[in-house]
Amino acid sequence: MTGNLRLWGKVTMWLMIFQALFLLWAFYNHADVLVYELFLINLVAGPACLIAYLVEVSRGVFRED
Amino acid sequence: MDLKSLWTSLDWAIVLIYFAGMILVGFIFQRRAGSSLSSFFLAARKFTIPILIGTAAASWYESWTVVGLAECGATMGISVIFIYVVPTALLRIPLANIIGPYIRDKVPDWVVTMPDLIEYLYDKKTKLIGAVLVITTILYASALLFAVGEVLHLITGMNLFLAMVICGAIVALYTSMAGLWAVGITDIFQFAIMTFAASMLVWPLVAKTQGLAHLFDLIRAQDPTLLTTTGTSTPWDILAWVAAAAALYASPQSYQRFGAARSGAEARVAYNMMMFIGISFSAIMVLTGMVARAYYPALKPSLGFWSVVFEVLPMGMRGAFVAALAAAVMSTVDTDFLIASTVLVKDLYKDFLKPTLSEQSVIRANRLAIPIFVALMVFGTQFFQEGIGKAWYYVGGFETSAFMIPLVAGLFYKRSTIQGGFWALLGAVAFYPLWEFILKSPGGIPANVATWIVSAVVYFGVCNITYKGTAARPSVAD
Repeated sequence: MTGNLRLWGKVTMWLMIFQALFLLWAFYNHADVLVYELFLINLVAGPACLIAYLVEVSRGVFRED
Repeated sequence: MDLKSLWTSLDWAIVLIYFAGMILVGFIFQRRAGSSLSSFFLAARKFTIPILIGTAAASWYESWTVVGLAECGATMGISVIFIYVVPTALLRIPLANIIGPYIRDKVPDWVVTMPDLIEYLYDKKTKLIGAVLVITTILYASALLFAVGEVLHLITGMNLFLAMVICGAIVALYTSMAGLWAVGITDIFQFAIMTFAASMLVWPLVAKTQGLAHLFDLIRAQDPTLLTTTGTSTPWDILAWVAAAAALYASPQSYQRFGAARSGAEARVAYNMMMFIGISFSAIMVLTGMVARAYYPALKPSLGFWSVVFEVLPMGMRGAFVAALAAAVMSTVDTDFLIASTVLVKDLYKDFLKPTLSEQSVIRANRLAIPIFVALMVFGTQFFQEGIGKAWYYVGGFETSAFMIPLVAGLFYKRSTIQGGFWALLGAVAFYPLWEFILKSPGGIPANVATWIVSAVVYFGVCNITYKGTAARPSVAD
C-alpha cells in the first residue's frame, strides 16, 4: 500500500507539472483543446472525490473504534 | 444587464438546499468531533485522499479565486496565467511532496496547530508571536464574508448585512458543532459544487465566443498587451505575484490538513491532485474574465463577470453557480474560524495562562469562541467595503512574508537556531507596517517582497551568529 502510494505521489506530481506546462502552451497558442480539457477535469474531479468519499464511508473507513 | 430579473425561485431553492445541507453535516458529526481535541481539530488524523483533496481545494479556493481571478483575466489577460496561476502550482511542489509528508510522519503528535509547529521548531516565546499573528490574520475572513454578501445582494436583492449574517451564522453553526469533521465533509460537497458549476460554464462560453481564436481576436482588438505573457506588469509586480503564490507555505490551513491526513504519502498525493485540479479551475475563471472583457468592456470587471455567467447559464444553474461561490467562501471561512478559535483557546489561553485546562474544556471553549469570532468578523466587514483585493494585499501579504522564512527555513536549514526564528518573526512583524505605512514602499518595492528580504537576512544572519555546532532538532534534509 505504502509503495503504491509512493508511486502515486510521483505520478500525481508529474501530472500537475504537465498540466501547468499545458496551460502555458494552450493559453499562448489559444488552442481549443484547452476548453475540452478544462471541461473534463472540472466535471469529473469534484463529483469523483465525493463518490470516492461515500464509497469509503460505506466500507467503514471512518467507523469509530 | 439586470441580474435580479434572471434570478428565479429554482435558483433560490438550490441555494437554500445547499445551506440546509451544510447545517445537517454539523448535526451528524457533532458527537464524533467532541471526543477529543485531536478529533475536533484534526478529525482524529483520519482524513483519506478524497477528503484531503476536497478540503484542501475548497479551503484554499475562495471568492478571490472565483471573482478575483476573473477580474484579473479581464484586466491582465493571459499574463495572470503566466505570472500567478502556473507559478503558484510549480512553487508549491516542495510543499506537497516534501514538507507535507514530513509534517504528518515526522513531527510529534502534540503538534496540532501552526503555533505548535513554531514551538517545535523554536521555542514558546516565538510561538506566542506566531499565535497572535495567526489570530490577527483572520481579518481576511471579514473580507470574504463581505464579498459573498455583496454578491447575494447584487444578484438576489437580499439585504447586504443580512446576507453576511446568514452566511456567517451557518458557518459558525456547523463548525462549532463538529470542528474539522464538519469542515472536511462540507468541504467535499462544496468542492464538488464548485468544480461542477465551473465545468457547466465552459461549453456555453465556447458557444458564445465561437472558439478561443475568435475570443482572442476580440481581445487583441481592444488591447494587444492582454495577450502577452507579462502584460503591463513591471518586474517588481511580477515578483510580488510570485511571492503571493508562496502563501500556501505560510498558511495555517495547510499544516492543519497535513496533520489531519492518515499518512504523509496520502497527504502528498492529495496535495498534488489538489493543485492539478486547482489550476484547471482557476483557468476557467480567467477565461470567463476574458470573455467578460471581450463582450462587456465598459462594465466593472466583477459586474462583467456576473453578466457573462448569468447570460450563458440556464435557470437553476445560476443558483448552482452562486451556491458555488458561497461554497468557496464558506469553506475558507470555516477553516479560518476553527483555526483562530483553537489558537486562542489552546495555544494562548491553555498553554500560557491555564495549563491545567482539560481537553473537554478546550473543546467547549472552542465551540463558544467560534460564534464570537463570527460576530467580530461580521462587524469587521465594514473595513473591507472597498473590495477583497485590498484585504488580500495587506493581510495575505503580511502573513506570508512574516511566516515564510521562519517556517520553511526552520524545517530545512541545518544551522537553524531558536534565536534566528524568534528575531526573524519579530523583525518581519515590525518591518512590514514600517515599510508599507510609514515609509510608503520606497522604490516601488512591495512591502511583502521587502519583508521577505529582511526576514531572510535576519534569520540567516542570527542563525549563523548563534549556531553552536549542533542543531536544535533534525532538519527535513536529515
